Amino acid sequence: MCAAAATLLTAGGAGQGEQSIYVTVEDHGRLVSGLESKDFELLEDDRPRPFRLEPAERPASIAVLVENAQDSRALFAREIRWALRGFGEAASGDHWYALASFAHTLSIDVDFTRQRARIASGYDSLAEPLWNDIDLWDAMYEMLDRLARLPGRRILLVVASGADTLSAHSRADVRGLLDRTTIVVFACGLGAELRNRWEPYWSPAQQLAATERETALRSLASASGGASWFPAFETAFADVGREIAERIDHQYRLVYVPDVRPDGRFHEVKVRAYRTDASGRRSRLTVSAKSGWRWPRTT
Amino acid sequence: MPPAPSLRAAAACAAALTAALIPATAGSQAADAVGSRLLNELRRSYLDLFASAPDMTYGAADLAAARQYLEDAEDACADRFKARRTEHERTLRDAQDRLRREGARLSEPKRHELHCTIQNTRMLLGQVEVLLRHGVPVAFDNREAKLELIEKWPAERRAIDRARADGTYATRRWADVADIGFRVIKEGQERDIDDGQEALRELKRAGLLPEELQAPDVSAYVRTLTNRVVQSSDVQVPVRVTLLDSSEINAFALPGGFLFIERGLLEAVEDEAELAGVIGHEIAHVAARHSHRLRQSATIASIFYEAAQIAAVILTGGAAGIGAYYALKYGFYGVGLAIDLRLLGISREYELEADQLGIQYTWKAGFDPTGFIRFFDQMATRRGYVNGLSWFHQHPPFYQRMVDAQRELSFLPRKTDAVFTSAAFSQMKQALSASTAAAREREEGRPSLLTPEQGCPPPPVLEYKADQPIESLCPLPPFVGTTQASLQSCVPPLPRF
Repeated sequence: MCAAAATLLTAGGAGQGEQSIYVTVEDHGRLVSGLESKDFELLEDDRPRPFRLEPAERPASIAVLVENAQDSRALFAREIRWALRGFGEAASGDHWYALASFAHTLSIDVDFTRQRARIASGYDSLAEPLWNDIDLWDAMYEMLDRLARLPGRRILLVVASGADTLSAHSRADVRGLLDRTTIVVFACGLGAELRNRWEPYWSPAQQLAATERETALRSLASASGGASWFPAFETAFADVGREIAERIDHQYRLVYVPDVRPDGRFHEVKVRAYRTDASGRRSRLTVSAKSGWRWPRTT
Repeated sequence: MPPAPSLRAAAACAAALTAALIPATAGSQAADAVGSRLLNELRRSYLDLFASAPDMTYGAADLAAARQYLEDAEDACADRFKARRTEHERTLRDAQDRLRREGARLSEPKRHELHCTIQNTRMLLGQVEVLLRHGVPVAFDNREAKLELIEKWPAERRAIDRARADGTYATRRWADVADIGFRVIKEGQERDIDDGQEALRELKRAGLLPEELQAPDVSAYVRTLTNRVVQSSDVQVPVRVTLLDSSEINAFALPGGFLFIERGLLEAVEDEAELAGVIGHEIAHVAARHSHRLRQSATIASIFYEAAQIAAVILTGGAAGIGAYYALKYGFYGVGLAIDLRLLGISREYELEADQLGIQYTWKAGFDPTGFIRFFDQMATRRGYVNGLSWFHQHPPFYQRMVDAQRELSFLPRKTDAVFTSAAFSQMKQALSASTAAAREREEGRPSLLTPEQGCPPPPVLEYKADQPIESLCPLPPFVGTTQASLQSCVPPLPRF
């Protein structure tokens, strides 16, 4: 295995050569717990791979990344507060929580603490933003890069509109980094309420841009094994915050040794989960898991 | 051909050692013995020296030689840290150059190794820088203050006795201790509340405020004690006490009565009177509106700008980098390094005024008023100078501060039932030890977004323990009268770190 992959595997917190896939399972929208190893299947490039089911590491390192440009502050501050409040109320006390914000640059506002209430109070204490640029890809890239260096289970919760104005990094760079790590991204999208209200008056280009913003966050979260939401009214943000906390506490951890080479190609990972009823009939459950690996080619 | 520099240095060293070990005359030998004894006196506490200095018989020449020795020893100590700084800077530059040159070709393990080297070297540079700028000067200032005390205190003591005898002591500033609580130190304390709230917000925004200590029993005790001191003070605004979960030995008051006491300070005080003395000192700043008066001469904006700059350096991984981050946030230099620099260092005049008023409030509240001086003493003399750095940094010279405090103590009517300590204090200490243990446990395995490279070997640390004097970091040469200056290059090398 190449040195880069070896480093990332070690950073993932599993044993030598092992990697963790974090999985949440739903049955008609309800999170499922209590599944056993026999209830899962793991496929890599459509080939079944051996794995073992282990408890997800506790504490997890959970970083909250919040958009804090001038306009975002003016338009979405209340929504963000609701989301952080909901998350803070439902989040477990034994994880580590950090808060970062971004506009033109990234700022680490609260380094990891067990006092999860500091995430909401940290946002309240942020200074009025000086910038109106929203460099989402730069901020996400930097956060993922920082999180990738930490051991164990790492989660990035992005509270953003999905807009990006002047990033040096691209969405593809962020996706590339996600494909090399096991960090799970949850996204709480801002601006759906505005979109619902004003979209009929927007030009086709504006409508397309709004769709692109939403798709970008959705695809990144989904590829990492996380999930995304775009609440359409203010108080729903609290529910989203709570839902994310609940999902974090319902994560399964499948540990296995990837059989992929650092060839620069994407290697698909699929996780399937089943529920077996009393009669022995298996029904397929909905699974959120990392979509695959892509390790850069090494010479 | 002239000898190489190292040979020249060795020759000078040998000559100095010869002079030191084989004194030319019996007279110089005796002088060195006196000098060594005098330097040993400087290890004693201030209170000891106040009591014994009038009986000491050191001559002007002894004192001058000791002073010269201390100045040279400080230079020698600083020079050795400067040399270490140069060495670290070279290591850092080399590693960064290599990263730049070979960046794309480096294997991951090699890259990781270089990142760790850079990270640890930055940390070491931060530690050396803090020692050079603060630790070493503070340590030697304290020694020099004691030397000054031995020299000047006997005359000062006689002046105090005269003032007490002829009643002129009653004309000193704030002599009206019978009117504490009714006199006005500075009008308009309530107008500072808004400023305090704004300052608090700024501190939070700059990320300079540690988390609050979650220990209800400890908080209740400290609040009760604070109320007792406040009720015996000239403070006319409600004092809000917040305990901060930080190992820094520090306490500070923002304008308008926002008092912050850090866990490290509660751990450091040895009795109730010491804690009351520190609280008295801090609330005296509130009573005298020192922050307001300071703002009239220097804009608070520039102070916060400085704090913000420090924070920016940390967050962008600048030269001070992670070392300064830990120093500010978790190390023994703590947040006080930034805050005390200018925001709360106040001015020399204000600090002396707070010392005087604080001693009066502690006395009036029924505590042993020597508590403040004893705390200062144990911090400066026994606990290690560097540990108490932020508390002392940029405060008035030790000598003047100690003498002024002792003078005020001499003028206050003696109370026979003054409280030294209490069962409640012991209970608070017990509860605090549980909080400290919990804090350590909480911090264990704490990840950080601010540590650029994880999984590095543990960084080397200064071989310095909190209860040791500066010599543990910077061994001083023996006192050998006028020859000691030549010994600077002969003292043992710094411990590796």
